[in-house]
Amino acid sequence: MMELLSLSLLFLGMYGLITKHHVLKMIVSMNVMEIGLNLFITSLGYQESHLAPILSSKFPSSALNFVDPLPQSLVLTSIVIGVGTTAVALAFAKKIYMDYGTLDLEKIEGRL
Amino acid sequence: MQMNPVLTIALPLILAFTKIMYRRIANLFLVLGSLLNVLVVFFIKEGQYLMGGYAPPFGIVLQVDAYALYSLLVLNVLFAALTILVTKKAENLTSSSLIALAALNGLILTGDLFNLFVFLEIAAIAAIIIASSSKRYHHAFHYMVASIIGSTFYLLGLILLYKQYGTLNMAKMHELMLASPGGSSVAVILIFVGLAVEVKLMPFSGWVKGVLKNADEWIGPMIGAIYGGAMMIVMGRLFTDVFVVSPKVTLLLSILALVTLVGGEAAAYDSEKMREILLYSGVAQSGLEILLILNGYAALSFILILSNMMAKYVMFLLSGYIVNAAGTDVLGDLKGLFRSNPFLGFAFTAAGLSLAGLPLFVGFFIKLNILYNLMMSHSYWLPAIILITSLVEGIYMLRMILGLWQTGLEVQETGIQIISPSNIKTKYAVHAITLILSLAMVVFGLMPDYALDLAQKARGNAVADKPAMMIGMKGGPGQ
Repeated sequence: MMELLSLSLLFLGMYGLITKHHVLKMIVSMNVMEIGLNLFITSLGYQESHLAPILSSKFPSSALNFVDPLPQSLVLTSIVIGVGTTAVALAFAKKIYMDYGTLDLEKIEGRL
Repeated sequence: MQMNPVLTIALPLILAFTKIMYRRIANLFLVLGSLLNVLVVFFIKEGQYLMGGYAPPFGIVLQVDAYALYSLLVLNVLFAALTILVTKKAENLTSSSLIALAALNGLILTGDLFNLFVFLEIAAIAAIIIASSSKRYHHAFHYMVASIIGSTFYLLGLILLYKQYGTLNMAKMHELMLASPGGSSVAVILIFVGLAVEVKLMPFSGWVKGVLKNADEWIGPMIGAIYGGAMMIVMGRLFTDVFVVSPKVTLLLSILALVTLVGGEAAAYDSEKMREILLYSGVAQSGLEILLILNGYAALSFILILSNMMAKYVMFLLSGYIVNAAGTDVLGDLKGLFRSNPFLGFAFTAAGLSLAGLPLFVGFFIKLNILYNLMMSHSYWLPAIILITSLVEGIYMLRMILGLWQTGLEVQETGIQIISPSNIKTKYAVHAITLILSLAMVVFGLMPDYALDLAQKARGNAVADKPAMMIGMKGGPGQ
């Protein structure tokens, strides 16, 4: 269920990214898409009634039923990359607005 | 003396960040970093290098074989030459350029699929920043959107493969896929689509026109040649050494590559502008390279990738300088240009004719071998399409080159100097680098056996390589 929900979020974001022409709306769509993908990766690693993969005094052995920690670490990296790309995209949004006075890519293409 | 290949990633990264403290000598960092990388490549030995001492499949490994080594050498030499030539253009992009170099080296070396994703993202962000140096930010933004959609598909495919096989290590993944090949088609298609954006495959190449049609002598060779080549090398690695692709999926993806080949050549034929012709020709060549990779011709695809990389590098570089000097890249306004610039004209001509696959140039022997190998495997429709598209490419390339030499009855000399005579350093550097690369194409064209042997050595033991039947100057196969 979680997988389906996250995938629909991913494709919703992708739809917005492809169909919208406003730079800020595209950046929001991009983030929705990334969140959908990150949730999907996390949901693939999740296993019912398994423990968080953290060794502690209460759970000192790696032989316990831990969920797969790898998807979670992948998501961490993916989140960092997502923040970086959003920052670059916002910098472009500012530059585009300064150059053309609008954030609508269709209007900009029409002018050129 | 032996050096760790991780230096080709770590050195540019360290310089990219330390450079921030020394802005006045930023250019020095860029040139020094890229030259140091060339030096390091010469001392790298083949083998598997563990990162942090963790053995695969748990740790990340760098895989250095002849394929990676030759690719690294060509990429780093071309990159270093570009930084020397266009130091001023790259003045404000020193950090991005060094990060791009680190990421491209990482792409070629890594033996881990998620690590590859990280390098893909770093390379893409650096490329977008480099592309934005033309001040056409909306085109760079389009490139960014395409690139993000591509990397999303790649990551989606990657996580599906991980779910199925439980590893991200390329070698281990290949073993497991061989043992249980079914059910991974969707993931492989998703990864292919993800990379298709970067290798300019239709219909995912919409961003290319915006970025390359106005490319200068910095953006053109960097994005059109170096990036395009590196991404294709990654494609070659994944679809030859790692993934086991079912015949149905191969056919589906081959159709996409064929559409790119035909569409790219048609668009290039229809254009009257130099940079547009080059970018569409590059798109078409990507189609051909992927067609060879998918059909298991690892050695031929490898030599084609490297040869095209060098040819496009020379042509994009010179077209940037030509636009600077003449103010236009409309071919009708540039007639007779090479009469005033014979050496650069020769370099451009050799690169163009090699790209088109005309005799005496290395491209001819590559295409001859492609056609011969395909015919020997009883495939007839594919060689027919390749032959027709090569013919179309030969026509528009000759039309462009002859126009630039103005060999008709009406002799016209523009008098425009592609590189200003007052700029002596740049003039000699551009002449030297473009002429060396063009001469390499002629030399390898006259001695194709050497180039073919090298390709065979690099890819002959590739998992998906078809039986090698190479035609060189000595004649037929089995030499």
